[in-house]
Order: sequence, then structure tokens, then C-alpha cells
Amino acid sequence: MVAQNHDCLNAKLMAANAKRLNSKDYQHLIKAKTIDEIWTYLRDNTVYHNVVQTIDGQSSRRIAIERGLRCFVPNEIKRFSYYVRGQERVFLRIYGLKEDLINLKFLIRMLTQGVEPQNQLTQWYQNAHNSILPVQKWSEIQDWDSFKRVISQTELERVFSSYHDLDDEESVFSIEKAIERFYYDRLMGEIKKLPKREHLQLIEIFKKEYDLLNLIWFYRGKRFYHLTREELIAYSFKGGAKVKIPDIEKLSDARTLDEFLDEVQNYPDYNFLFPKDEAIDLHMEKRYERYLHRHFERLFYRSQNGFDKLIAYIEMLYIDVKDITSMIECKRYQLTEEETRKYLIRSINGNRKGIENGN
Amino acid sequence: MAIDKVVMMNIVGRIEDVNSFANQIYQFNDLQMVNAIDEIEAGRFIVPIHEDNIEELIGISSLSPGFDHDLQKDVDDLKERFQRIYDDTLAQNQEMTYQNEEIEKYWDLISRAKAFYEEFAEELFHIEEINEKQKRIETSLHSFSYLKEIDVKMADLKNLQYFNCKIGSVTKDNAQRLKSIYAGVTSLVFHVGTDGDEEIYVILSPLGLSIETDRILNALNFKPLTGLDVSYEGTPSEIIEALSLENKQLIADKTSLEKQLAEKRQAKKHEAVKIYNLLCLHSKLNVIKRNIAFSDDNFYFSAWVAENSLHVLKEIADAHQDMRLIESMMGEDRQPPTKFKNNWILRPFEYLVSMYGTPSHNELDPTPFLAITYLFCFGYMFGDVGQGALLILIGFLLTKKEIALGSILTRMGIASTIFGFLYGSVFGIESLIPAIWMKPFDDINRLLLTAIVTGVAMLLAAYAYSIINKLKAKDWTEGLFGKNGVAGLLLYLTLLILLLGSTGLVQVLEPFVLPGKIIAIFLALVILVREPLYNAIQKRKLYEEGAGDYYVENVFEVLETFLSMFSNTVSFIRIGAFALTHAGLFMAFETLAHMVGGGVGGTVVFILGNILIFVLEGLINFIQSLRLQFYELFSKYYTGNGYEFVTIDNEIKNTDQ
Repeated sequence: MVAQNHDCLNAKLMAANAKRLNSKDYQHLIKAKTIDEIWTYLRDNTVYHNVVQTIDGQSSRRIAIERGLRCFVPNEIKRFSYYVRGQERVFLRIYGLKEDLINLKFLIRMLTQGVEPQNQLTQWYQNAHNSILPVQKWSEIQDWDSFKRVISQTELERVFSSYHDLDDEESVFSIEKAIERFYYDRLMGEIKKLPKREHLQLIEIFKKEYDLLNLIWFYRGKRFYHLTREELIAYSFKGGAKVKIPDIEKLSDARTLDEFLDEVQNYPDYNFLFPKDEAIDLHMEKRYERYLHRHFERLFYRSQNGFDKLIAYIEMLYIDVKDITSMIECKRYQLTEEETRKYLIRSINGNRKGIENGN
Repeated sequence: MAIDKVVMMNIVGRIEDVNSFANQIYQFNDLQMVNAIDEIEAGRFIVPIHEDNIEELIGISSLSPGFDHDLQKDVDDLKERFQRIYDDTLAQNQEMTYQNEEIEKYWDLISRAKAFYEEFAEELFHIEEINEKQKRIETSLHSFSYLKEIDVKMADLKNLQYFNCKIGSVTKDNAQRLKSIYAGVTSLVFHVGTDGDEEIYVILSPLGLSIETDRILNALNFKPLTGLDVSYEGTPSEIIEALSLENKQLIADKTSLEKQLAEKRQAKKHEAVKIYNLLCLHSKLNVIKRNIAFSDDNFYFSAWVAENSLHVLKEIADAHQDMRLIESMMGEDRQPPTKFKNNWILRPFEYLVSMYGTPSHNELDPTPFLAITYLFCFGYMFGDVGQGALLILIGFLLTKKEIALGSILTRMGIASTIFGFLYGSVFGIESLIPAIWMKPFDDINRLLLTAIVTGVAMLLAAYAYSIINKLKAKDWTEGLFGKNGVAGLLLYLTLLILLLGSTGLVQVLEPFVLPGKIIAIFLALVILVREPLYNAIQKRKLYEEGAGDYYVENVFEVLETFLSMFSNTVSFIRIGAFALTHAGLFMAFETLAHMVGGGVGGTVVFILGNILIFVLEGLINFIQSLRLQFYELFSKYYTGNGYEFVTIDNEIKNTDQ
């Protein structure tokens, strides 16, 4: 495959990155006294000014705020998709499905709770980019049966074909895991098609992400859901860097949580997820996100490949959105500045010590 | 003028005549419908107050739109059923005409169509039933094909005392996961086949562990195979055999039914065509009725019609009892649609004119001028007998396929052929026929000069068009004193005299150089002060938006006028230049053909060269000729602010789309 010339993309990405939230913006947002103040700052000083106007920051729940802010990202994916072609463009399309599938999970949750999904869907899908979902038929969805009818004839039909109803929490959990597995299997399919020499670093980061996701999944499966070995394997992701199929089998063989944590010691690169002297559950997600953010940030600044840079840029945008959402939540619960910093993924003031340690 | 004068007419008639009226209007076709309710609401559709018109006047207070969705649904539904009977082979016959009585009896037609369908309904139902069964059998045959090696009766497999048997598939990705958990699954897992991205398995699990097994299979998105109906008895091989037999029987039954149906269809074809076409006609009449307003007893219809076709509308009205033709109360501000009136030679060029814009009703139709000058420019640039003939052939074929560009290409081909004879060129060979005028490279100056002289003539004609258009639009300022008005024309002529006189090209004009300069300055001043000049004549305020702004803007405009007069004229040199390019390219390929030693190689080079010149140059010359029209000429005299007259058949076509 002939390497694509990404000079233009590189230049555009550097310009776009310059507009991302910087340390000064973070300081302002952390120091804001009210949610309104955060909202006004985002509207007047950041690239989120358009999406912010569509969200009610005061009354919306965390999930709605995060979903609203995330609408910014598909627009960016769409904007930059014109600068790539061939396999990279295909990859970008599959990669962009992440938003689709997150929305799909929310939709299913709403259906189980008997909530009318239309209003939320309209907002989420006005920015739908390359959606594989039949968005034009969305208004027909009232319940699980109509959902399955609408989803038939799409790539997702197979994911839901074996679920006849949404009668219990177990089914919903199982469906959500099936959706995630569908996405990560498809993504790995596309990762394998990328030219290895050109995208070595990017592929490595994705493989590490799969490892981390599997470890988190096994930990939670054993700690909270008490799943069988077979169920743990069934919902695991293939294609990791170090946690390969024999490792997955070995880790799922662990009978107790302690046995599992002992086994994890064999993967020193990922020990930071399960620190011995700290509460594991509370910040596990943050540790995972900080780790990825560090890698993607490094990729963005060091890679000469525009496509790798683009993926890194998008991942960093997702992190920004999560941080903004966390800051709003911290404000809602009246946490101090110092406490708020603990819930952020990005480091501010250039202090990267914590991140390097995976904290 | 090549534009028909159109007027808005209103018609009031009895509701029982609406179908026959709509049919006659449809046959007439040459009018543009307007929504009658809009006309009545705007006060333009006024029924004269007279005791004979009492009913019509009262009716206006209770109007409703004329389109009935249910009626249209009935018609569409029946049309679809007829096509089902005749396997989508029924075609509309546009030539078919009907008696008024046939059209008036709408409900009779619906009943007739339904009764006709009923005669075929049983056979169609049975065929559909067989199709369904066949589909089910095919699914079952496909599913059982994975199990044909299993020599156990399906009933035994389903009714195991201590085990549960599941047959289904998982995706290839999940099949790998299933392999990883073989050891832990308390079931027997048999891989029996692959179907695209799915792996097929037979899974036997102890009844006591069925919940655990189900959970695992669920987690792997296990999908049971369809078509393994419990009612099928025997082993999979026996079932496959039985199903194949059943399928054969179904095929035989279907063939026999289809034969019966074909005979019946043939016998009734004439009647079916008649009913189908009547249904199609009613679909079209429904489009007309969308624009008609209805009261309890009357209908109200409005349309633009060419003044010279008014008598047809009058005849239609006279043919119906109590039908009145009323002239619309149209205000002067209302712009009628533009109805072209060109002969068959010029008509295709209306397409090119419309690409720029439709002429407004008070504007000269530029089609004749465009057609003549466009063909001249193209022929001048692309003169070749052989390639011209090829263009005629392509144009003819495209016209046959009803592609609008076809007829234009034919005419372009004729122009190219004529100039080919003038240049003596056949597929670039200049030795086959003598040149009636000259060969392009024999006298390059003459070729280029002729191009400019022709351009000047075209520009003068464009000025004339512009003056007429502006005066017709009562734009006296621009028409008399504007840069494209009388003053502009005189200035252009004066500059031409100055150029020819001062360069000594035409010696007789030399004495006019000095007075010419004075006149040119005078005319430039007239153009500059045209607005205050006209306002002074009219005794109105001199400047509408201040003198300063006016002069700043208009000084530049006068300068631009001089520049554009020069650039527009010189621009026509391109038609000579492209004629040279055309001949030059031929010469280049002829030389190449000689260089490869003639023979087969030379012929190939010659043919390839001709193809390249035909495609590339043909396209360039097509665009360049159009550019001269749109940029150098249309910009002088044509606004194209009108809207097109849409006849009824086009309106129906647009609605169908």
C-alpha cells in the first residue's frame, strides 16, 4: 500500500489541537464557582460553544451532559475524514461507530425503563456521522420488538437476534456486553488491515487498550457479577498485546478475586490498575483512561503519521469531554478544587508525575 | 418574438362534468395549472355577480381542495394488482383515447377493475401460497443439509430423555471463544458446517444443566437454525428426500397454475389493457384535480393559457352545459410564465437558454440568436466533414434515446460539416476535398480577423437586443443612456471608427478620428451621468443615494465599460484560434502517423488522434462556444428572470417523480 501524504492533515490537526482546552481553561473551569460559570466559560471561550447551547447544564444528569458534549467529536471525525482515504477511511468509519453503539446502549436502557426515547435520540443523532443505524426510522421505536424490527437489515441484526425480550437486568447486561464485543471485534478486524509499519505505535496502543479492557472486565466479572469462567471468556476481547487467548483462559480460571489479582502480577505493565495500597474500584476507570491518554498524547506529538495523529486527537477530545463532565459533577457536589483534580484524567500545570505512575 | 403571450383564465363548471373536463384539459395539455383556491383567495378568480351565477357564487364560500387521497390509493392499488396479474408487463398507451361516458363513470371503472382482479385472485393466491411453501422448504433443506450425516431421527433428537439438543450458529469471532471454553462447557459440541460468517454447531447438554448452557450460548450470541420444523419426521437424510419430493410437486403445481393463468391472461389481455389505461388516466386526472377547487355543486379551475390557444379552452367550455370561461383579474405586478414558441430547428437550443435562465415575459427570447451564433462559433472552431458527420450520428442516436443534448449535437454536427467543406477537411485530411473558402493555415490573419469581425457583428446584435429588452421593460435610463443601451451602442460604434480610422485599416474613416474622439468623450459622459440626466428630464430628484456615492461607483463603471468593450471584442479571436488548434492537432497526428511508417501503425495513430481530437476538442469547443454566449453576449442583454411554462403532462411527470 502506498503511504498517504498527510501533510495537510498534520497541519489541520495541529491547528485543531491548539484550540483544545489547555491548562488555563482547566484552571478556569476548576475555579468556577457555579455550574453556570462553567457553562458560560465553555460557551464564550472554547470550541464547545455550539454544543453547549443545546444542553441544560444545570438540570441535566451527568450522562446527558456527557452525551451532549460528545456530539462535538463526531463532527470532528466527519471534518477530518475528508483528508484520509482507502483503508484508513474504512477504519475511521468503524472507529466512529463507538458513538453509535454508546447511544444504542442508552436507548436500550431507556426501553427497559419504559422511557420515551425520541427526544434524546433526536439530539444525539443530529450529529450522527456514518451511522450504521437506520436513523431515519428512529421514530418507529417504541419497545423492544419495534427496536428489533428497525434494526433488522443492518449489521447489528445478528447482535440482537438471540435476545427475545428485555425482561430482566441480566438480559440488558448481556445485550450491552454483546454490543461492546461487536464493536471491538469489528475494530480489531480493521486494525489488522492497517499497514503495520506505518501505524506500529497506533496498533500497539489499541492492543494495550484491549488488554486493559479485558483485565477490567475480569476484575469486575469476579468482583461484582460473579460470572462463570465461560461467561468471562465469552465477553472478552481478542487481539490484545499481552493478554492473548491462553492468558484469557488462565485469568478466567482464577477461582477467587485474590487468585486473579495474584495472576495479574504476571503483567507488570498493567499492575497500576490494581494498586495494593489503594482502593481499586474507585479510580480504576480513571487509571485506565489516564494511561491511554498519556499514550495517545505522546502519539499525537511524536508521530509523523497524520492518521495516527488524527486518532490520537479524537481520543484526547473524548478525554476532554470526560474531564468537563467530571468538573461539572464535582461542582454539583461542591467538592473543593483539590478534590476535583483527583477526578480529572488530564494533568494540569504540567505535572505528569501522577500520570507516569498510572495514577 | 418566439415567446407566446399567455393569459390567466378561470373556469367554473358543474361537478358532474369534472372528469370529462379534466380529460379534455389533459388531451389539450398546452396550459399551466394554478391552484384555484389560491386564485380565489387572492381575489383574482371572480365569478361575475349575476342571477345565473347564484350557485357558483354561493359555492365559493364552501370550497375544498380537489384531491382525494383515498381515491388515489384505490387507483394505485388496482394498478399494482393488474401489474401483478401480468407480471409487470402492462404498459401505458399514451395514444389511447376514451369516450366522455367512460371517463365519467369512475365508480363503474373501480368495480370493473376489482371484478377483473377477482377472476385471477384464486390462481394468484395459490401461486403465492406455493411460493411461500417453497421458501420454507428451501430454508429447511438448507438447515437439514448440515445434519445429513446424522443418522438419528429428528424426533428422537428433540425428545432425548436426559439431554437437550440445540442446533444453531455463532459468528466466526465467537466460534473462537467457544473453542476456548470447550473444556469448561458441560456439553457435547459438534461443528457441522460453515455458512458464510457463521459456524454451525450441534450442542447436546444435560437437561439438569440447561440453564447454565443457555447462559453461555446466549453470551456467544448463539442463533438457532430456522426451518428445522418438529413436524418433519425421520432422519435428516430422509427429511431432505421428502422435502425435495414435496418441492418437486410444488414446482409442478405451480407450473400448471401458471399455465392456466397465462391462458386466461392472454384471453383477457385486451380488456386488461383497456382498464389499466383507464386507471392510469384517472391517476393523471387526479393530478389535475389537485389544482381544482370544489364546492358541493361546482368545480373551479384556473390556468395560464397561450392567447392563441384560448379558442380551444372556449370550445371545451362550450361543450359542457353551464360551464363558464372567466378572464382572471390579474394585476400588472403578476409575472406570467414564459412559453417558448420556436420552430423545430431552434427548439433544442431552448435547453441551453434555460441553463442560464428562462426569459421573462417582457423579454426577447434569445433562442434564435443563440442558436445561429452558437452554431457559427462551434462550426468555425470544429470544422471537419468527417467529425461533423460523426457528431450528427451521435446526436441522432441520443435523440432516439430522448436525451435532450442529442438534437443540439445533431445541429452542431451539421455546422461542423458545413465548415468542414469550407476548410476542405475530412477527419483532418486536407487533400481529399478542395476547400470552398480556405484551409485554416493558408491565411492565419484572415482567419483571425474574420473571427473578430464576426464577434463585432454579434456584439452589435447583442446591443440591439439589449436596447429592445430595456425599452420593453420601460427601463429608459439604461435603455437610452446605459452602457448597454443606445449610448453604449453609439460609443462602441464610435470606438470602432476610431480604431479603424486611426490605425489606417479603413482610410475612408481617417477624417472621422477627431470628431470621433469628441463624440466618444461625450457618450462616456452621458453614460456617467445617465441617472441624473434622466431624472432631470423627468424633473425628479437628481440622485437617489447621494452624488458622491453615485460618481465613485459610476466612474469605475465607465472605465469598466471601455475595458469590457475591448475584452469582449478581442475574446472572439478565440474562435479563430481554436480553428487553428483543431487543424494543428490534425497535422501533428498526421506527422506522427508518417513517423511510425504509415501502414497499420500509422492508421492506428491516425484513428487514436481523431478520437482524442473529437472528444477533447469537441468538449472544449462546446464549452467555449457556450462561454462566448453566456459571458460576452448574454451579460449584455439577457436577464433570464422568468419562469418556465409547465404543460400538464410535465406537471404530471413532476408529480410522479
